[in-house]
Amino acid sequence: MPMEYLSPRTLDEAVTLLQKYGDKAIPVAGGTFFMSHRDDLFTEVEVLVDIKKLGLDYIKTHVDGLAIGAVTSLASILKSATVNQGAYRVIHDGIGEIEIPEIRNMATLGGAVFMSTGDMPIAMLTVNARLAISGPGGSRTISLDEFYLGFLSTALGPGEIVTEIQVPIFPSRTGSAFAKFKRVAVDVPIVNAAARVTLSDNNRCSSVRIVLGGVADVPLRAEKAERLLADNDFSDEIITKAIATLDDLECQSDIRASGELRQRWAKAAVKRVLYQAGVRARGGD
Amino acid sequence: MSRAIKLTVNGDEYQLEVDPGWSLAYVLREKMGLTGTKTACGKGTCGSCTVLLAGKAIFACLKIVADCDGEDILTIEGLARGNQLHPIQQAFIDHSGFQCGFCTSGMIMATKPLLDHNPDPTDLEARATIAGHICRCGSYPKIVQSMLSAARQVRETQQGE
Repeated sequence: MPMEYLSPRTLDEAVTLLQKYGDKAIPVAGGTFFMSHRDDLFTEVEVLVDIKKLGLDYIKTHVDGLAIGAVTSLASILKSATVNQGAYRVIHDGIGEIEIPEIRNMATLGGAVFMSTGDMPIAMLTVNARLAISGPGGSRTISLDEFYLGFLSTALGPGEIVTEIQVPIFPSRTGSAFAKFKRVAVDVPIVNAAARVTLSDNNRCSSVRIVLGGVADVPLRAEKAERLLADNDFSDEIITKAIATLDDLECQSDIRASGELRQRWAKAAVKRVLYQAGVRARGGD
Repeated sequence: MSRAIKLTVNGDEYQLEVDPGWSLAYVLREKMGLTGTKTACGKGTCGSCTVLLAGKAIFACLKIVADCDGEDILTIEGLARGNQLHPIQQAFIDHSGFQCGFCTSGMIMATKPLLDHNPDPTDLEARATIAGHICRCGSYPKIVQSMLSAARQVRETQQGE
């Protein structure tokens, strides 16, 4: 049972508190994950460090992309017209698939990126997100590609917190899409997938990312599929071959679905997001 | 170490000493006697604890009350005006939008922000609004009917004004 709820007013103060209390402290923003898991995952936590008063609630557009403050609520991001266009649509759609208004009002992007089995990591990996991190050693940025080490295990060091999520700018003729198979919205997804595709003027794929979730404890890049598609015609034939590279994908089995069912859904989800991203890259919906 | 907070609930101001580990649901129910908000699961997976904070739906069981200093909360008890039920409450009665009633306050509280922002929701939009709500009795069709009827009622009232 937590003994302290502290609300630092500066980033330095927050980092000092996290360092001081070590394993006994966690940063909280929305608090949804902490409160729903305090009896199983967070029994050792005694100090809650509220990071909502550090000015980290914003969506900024720069010349080279987007910067979203770590404690921006998913609901705020969902309302943003900037995030609902071009390559960034996958972020909007991913939040849409979370579906539950109460959770979106409370949860933040910074918190959601920790849920390696959730929706936001998949969406953010698709758009080459980077995390700005502050800690005892100062500030640094890290590619989200290097962030996930295991279930709820990340590359954050002691006393470090994520302050901002950065997304680069993408060329026009870039489309992105998100798909999710779930039983109920309150549960983790069974399988989800996201894709971002950039097409050249003659319908060749100049850049692609395909990310799968739910098949393992951490998000998975469908790298073989990506390699097949890159620098190739974005045609039905090539897309079919790309999806076939998932034939030997081994997926986890649990009470929600067998590995076999997940594998089938993973392929269906990838097909759906590739086609939709392609349509969007060409200016459709 | 407890924290002193000021909380407005259904228009009434409260000054409280709260423990860091307390949820808003706990304080509403156990300290204020407002038991209309239910805690069927206590971990944000059933929707029975939905209340409004600054007009937005949240799960009270997941909200750290120490973080609610200065906030404006609306619970089911705050919807009616004296003996006059809110149109959403009336709609749920008129359309039998409940059986045991345990999920009902959550369903009604979730409906309010929907109607505040979307006066003419579709069936799918109503269902998405209650995506985080479980009705163990299976009243979903009637619940959705009640939500859409409430929307109609609110629209007609506003048109009449």
